[in-house]
Amino acid sequence: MNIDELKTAVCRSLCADVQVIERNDGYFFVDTPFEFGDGDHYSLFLKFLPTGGVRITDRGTTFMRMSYLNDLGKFREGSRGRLLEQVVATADLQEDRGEFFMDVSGEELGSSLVRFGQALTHIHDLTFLNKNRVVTTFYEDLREQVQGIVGSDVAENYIVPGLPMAEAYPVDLFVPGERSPVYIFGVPDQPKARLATIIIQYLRLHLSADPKNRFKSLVVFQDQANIPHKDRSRLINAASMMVDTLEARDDMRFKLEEALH
Amino acid sequence: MEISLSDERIAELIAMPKRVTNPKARQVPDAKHFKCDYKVISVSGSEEFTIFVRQHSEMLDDFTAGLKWHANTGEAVILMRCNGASHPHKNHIEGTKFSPGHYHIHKATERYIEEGYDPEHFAEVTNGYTAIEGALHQLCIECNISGLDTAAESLSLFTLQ
Repeated sequence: MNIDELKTAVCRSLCADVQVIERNDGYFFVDTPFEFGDGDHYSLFLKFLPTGGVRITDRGTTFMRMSYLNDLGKFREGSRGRLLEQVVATADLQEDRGEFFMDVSGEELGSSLVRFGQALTHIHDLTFLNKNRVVTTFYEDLREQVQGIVGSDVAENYIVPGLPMAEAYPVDLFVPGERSPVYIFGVPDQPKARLATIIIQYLRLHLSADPKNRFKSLVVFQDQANIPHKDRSRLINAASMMVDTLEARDDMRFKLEEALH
Repeated sequence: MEISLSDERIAELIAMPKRVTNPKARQVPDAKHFKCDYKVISVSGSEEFTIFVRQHSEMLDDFTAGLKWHANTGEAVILMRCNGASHPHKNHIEGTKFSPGHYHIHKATERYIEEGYDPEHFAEVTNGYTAIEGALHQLCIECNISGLDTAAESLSLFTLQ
């Protein structure tokens, strides 16, 4: 097989994997090899534009699918919202109320369809970021936000001196204060809510009896609404102060400054 | 998915009698679809579920009525989804595929979980409904759910804009 035959074979194979199906609502469904984890193919549609060219659109179906297991609000704010904005900007997509689309000329259609499919993959993959990158980003954002309020005098993964088995009970962020230090715990998910509750209760048990060891604890949720009620209640009872999301910057500043000075 | 589920456990979860606790839940617009979620508990009180209903605001054939189970680990697993016919589907393990125009029901299976796919990857074509009302009715029948006033292909659950 020479290079021309190879090209022909690749082109024929690619074309065989793509079908354009006319719908009765003015759109064309484009069946491609792009698939979600449940075996359903991506919903890619084409529509002729009155000004010439073609609109490639998902008609909002990607967000609808993501809503089965997720509250869509969390993709519009915080770390996930910023990642979504990056995906949309990088792929040169436009968005209208959850519909992602791009307008292209006929000549660009093939490469644009591939780029559009890749972008939908990145958007859908935001649902997998709950326990990985978003959590990492959350802790980074938390540290930066606290440093923005109190300056650089912040210790990460702080081990409390003199505490029995202290290494088993680390504090996410330690901020020394004039009256007493503030121990800050970031809470992105249910397991961390439970761990933070245990650590705060342990610290209270061993430190609160001695006035010179007194401290205040601040819990910052990534999204309080994602924490089951009972876990949230236990944590609220254990901690001195709470901030319900990283977006509540002014509230975090107020509480930190009040506790430190 | 972090938890493992056997086919026996999936069948047990689907078959156990359940009831809807908020049958008056209202549909709300969200992005380009309407959504309505019903809270469901097993009659024994030991298991919690949610029925999620989604209808695209323009495409009548793009909808789903599904049941997700809330494991005590905090993870939610979709056990069944009665889907519209707007898109193709492929069952990777069996190698079967069907084109747009086929209403289909996704069901959680142990084999797809073990292979790392979404639990409810496997789907079969159905002739049991052609609209969201019928899909919700079918879901309630197949998953032994009471407390919702459903009927096959009758009154419109969603008012299209």
